[in-house]
Amino acid sequence: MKYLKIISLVFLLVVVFYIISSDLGNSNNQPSGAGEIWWTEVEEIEESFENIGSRE
Amino acid sequence: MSNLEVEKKVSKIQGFDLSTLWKKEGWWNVWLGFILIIGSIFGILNSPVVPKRWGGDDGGILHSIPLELIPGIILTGIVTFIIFALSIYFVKKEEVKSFLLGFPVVYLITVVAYLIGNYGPWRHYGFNDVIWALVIGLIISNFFKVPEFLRSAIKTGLYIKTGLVLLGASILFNRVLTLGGMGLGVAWLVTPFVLIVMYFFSQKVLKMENERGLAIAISAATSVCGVSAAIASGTAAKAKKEEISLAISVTLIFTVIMMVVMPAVVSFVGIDPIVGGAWLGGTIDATGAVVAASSLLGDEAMEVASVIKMIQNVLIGIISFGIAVFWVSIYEKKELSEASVGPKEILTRVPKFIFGFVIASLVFSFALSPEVVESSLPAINGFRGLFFTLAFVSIGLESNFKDMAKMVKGGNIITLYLFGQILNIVLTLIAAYIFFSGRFFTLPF
Repeated sequence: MKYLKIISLVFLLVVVFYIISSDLGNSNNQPSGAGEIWWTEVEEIEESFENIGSRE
Repeated sequence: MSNLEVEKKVSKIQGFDLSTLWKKEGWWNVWLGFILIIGSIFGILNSPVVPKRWGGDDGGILHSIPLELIPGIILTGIVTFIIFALSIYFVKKEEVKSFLLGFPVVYLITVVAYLIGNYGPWRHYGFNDVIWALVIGLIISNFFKVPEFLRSAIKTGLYIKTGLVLLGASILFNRVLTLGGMGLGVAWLVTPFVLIVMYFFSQKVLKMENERGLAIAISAATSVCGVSAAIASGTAAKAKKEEISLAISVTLIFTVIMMVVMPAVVSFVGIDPIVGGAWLGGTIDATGAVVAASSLLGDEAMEVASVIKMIQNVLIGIISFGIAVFWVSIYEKKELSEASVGPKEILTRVPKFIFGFVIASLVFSFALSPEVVESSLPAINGFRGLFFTLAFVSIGLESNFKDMAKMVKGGNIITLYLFGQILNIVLTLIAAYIFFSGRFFTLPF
């Protein structure tokens, strides 16, 4: 069980490292990313709120 | 706990000394938050100046910190120093001088954390200023000795709780019905359920009785909104600084995976983009990651995901208040053994920032005009971000790797996160299908 936990943790970190090093999240063409932690930091949230509000 | 200590604790909570309002740091968190909020509303305070985004299309490092920005960065440091020195003057006057010596160094580390954290390609994957603040602080404290003069400026509680009062201003309850009952159905039904089940699982199955702060911080981060929820809920539960740091690290690692995998699953399985947007909005922890992932499903999906996330973020206020009251009335009651903890005592013992946090939220939701909210929020949010980064520099400087490694070693953190996130993913998908597929309810747009 102990080794299973260690293997899972290592696998998890390898996957994250692969995603970042290969830029699978396409950082250049995305409006925002995981670094923005609160809705006020992301312009698209306010724009979406206004767009949906104006359509209702 | 000895009988004498218990008696002291009980006698403290029976009366209320008015001087605590200006002699206790807890209340100063509220006053400082209010001073900044009022200053921003009246246009006296502008957004703090910090290094800008760089890397990728934004240009090189010189774009982040051009010469003309430096006076603004210094002025921001002076204003921030004055704000916190005010509290220290009233609470512990003799510390002001040593705070003056230590604060510039802590602020300088904060500016460096902003500089590295604003490198776009890394920030996209969660390596923001808060993470770098923690990393730099940890490196200094674990590989070098933290100089004595710096300790007076390591004020995690003061920075983080004042930041949380400011966070209250952007919790806007008047927006929760933007998507009608559908949005609430996805964001407000599943979230509290997952939070409660996760915490119950941590205590009854994983037996994390000695890591309650860690358990609630991870549960809130998974069910509500990642880093901010971990900070707010962990602080409300008086969690250890290492527990909040670990909760944040775990949520960021999984956010990177979910941000890439979930839109791919939506497309591969052929889920309707609107349902997919609602699903992503309710499950991915970080707000920016929700927008990035859902934008791959189209504009409408991104709008639904964004608004679902915004509605879900509002829950952080209610949940943090609930956690603070729960902790005082259940766990602190046990610590006092036979002493009863009634409503008056609960109000006395709840962390004071919670009051400022709730009042700020109610004022910005219902008392101020949308124009005033819109014009004052950038400065308030700028200071909130700066205070969180200062707090995480302090956390890093106070933490050590051994304590953090001990908590990871048992494996309970990952098990708890995986259990909660799988539950969250399944239940939110069901809720997204019920409320946004158009089969059961008419879509509100």
